[in-house]
Amino acid sequence: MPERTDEEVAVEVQKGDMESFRILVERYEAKMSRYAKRFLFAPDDADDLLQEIFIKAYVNIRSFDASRRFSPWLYRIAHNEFINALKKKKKDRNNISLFYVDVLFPHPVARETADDATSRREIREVLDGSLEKLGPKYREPLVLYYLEDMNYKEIAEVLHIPVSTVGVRLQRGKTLLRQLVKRVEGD
Amino acid sequence: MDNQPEQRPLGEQVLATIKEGNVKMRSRWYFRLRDILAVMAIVIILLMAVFLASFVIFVLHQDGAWFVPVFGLAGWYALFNALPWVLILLSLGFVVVLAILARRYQFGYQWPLLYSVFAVIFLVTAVCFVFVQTSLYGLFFASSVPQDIPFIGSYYPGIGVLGPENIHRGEIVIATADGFVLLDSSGRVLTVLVGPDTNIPFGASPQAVFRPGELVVVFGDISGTSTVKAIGVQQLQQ
Repeated sequence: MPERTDEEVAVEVQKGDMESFRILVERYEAKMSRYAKRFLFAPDDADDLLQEIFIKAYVNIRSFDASRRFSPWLYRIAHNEFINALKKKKKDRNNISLFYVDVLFPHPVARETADDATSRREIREVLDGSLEKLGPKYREPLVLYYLEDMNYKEIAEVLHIPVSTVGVRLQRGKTLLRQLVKRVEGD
Repeated sequence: MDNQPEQRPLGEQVLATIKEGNVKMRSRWYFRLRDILAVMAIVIILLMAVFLASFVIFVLHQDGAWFVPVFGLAGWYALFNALPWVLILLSLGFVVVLAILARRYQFGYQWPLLYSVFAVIFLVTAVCFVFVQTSLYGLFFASSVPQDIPFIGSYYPGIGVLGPENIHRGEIVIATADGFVLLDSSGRVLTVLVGPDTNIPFGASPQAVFRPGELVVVFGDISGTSTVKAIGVQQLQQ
């Protein structure tokens, strides 16, 4: 019997099958943990945050539209939790803004770059070591694209920004990464 | 030996919290009600923006400034000077709030905010122009209802009185050999001089326009105490 999709499982939970929710938690626990680690950097309260994400997902699961993908919906909840967690941290509070100018203006439609496998692996390696030096604005799309393997449209759904802005943030994030690498190599 | 208790898997912890009854799944009605309230908020703000924009048009109609762009660049300049900027900025404030509220939904956030603002401006303008065409529009703003609204009501005493000095809306009292006598909306009696340079739009003949009882907008500065050398005269529909 083929494995049920996330969306099918979510529908069962919506109907009141509490046990099916365990399947969703098991499927996404590692992903959410990795996302938290890369976005928040081993926070003391990571376990509490993960629990909070899944509890919020359970409480609000009837707002999930099963005709759409479950993954961006859950990542959106995680994104909101992480942003709230960052706001509580003194160090990151100033890097979080309610409004970013890049969502105001139109950008040329950013096509998804077809990074070849080598280039993608290299970016992943650099990214893993330099994430902390990037602000949340550029860090998050880079994490979602290169480390969580989401496409532009899914990232746009998670961050609630236009698809073209996702492309712009990824380009600028990569440029910042290159500058960081050059600086480290120069030292 | 590790004495730390083994941590339960996250799935079990979450399920345990749910089973303990500390958290409950929200019903579909909760989300429907929330969406209905959000839509209502959007509609109410949209109506407020339409109301303000319609009021701006009403003020410009009453001042006569709405009709003067037909007289060319000077007319456009006069209209620009006559615009009630506070009301316009307030309407734009509603438009921005509306665009931000719409960003809760995919149709709102999938475009740059500037596009959303333009889309809302277009929507407000379109609804406003449809409203202006209805008979309800004139009746509503002439009634006491908007006059009782704080802030909006304070505008009423100045409408048609504190308008631009070079725009005069009123009724022709007497036709004269070189023009006509106008009773303007602030109650002043003005002698309007019409010459060969006076612009009378849409090819109307002076004889057809300048008849007692006709409503007109005269564009021109007052010279002396009550004489206007008309740059243009626009006939209004009764």
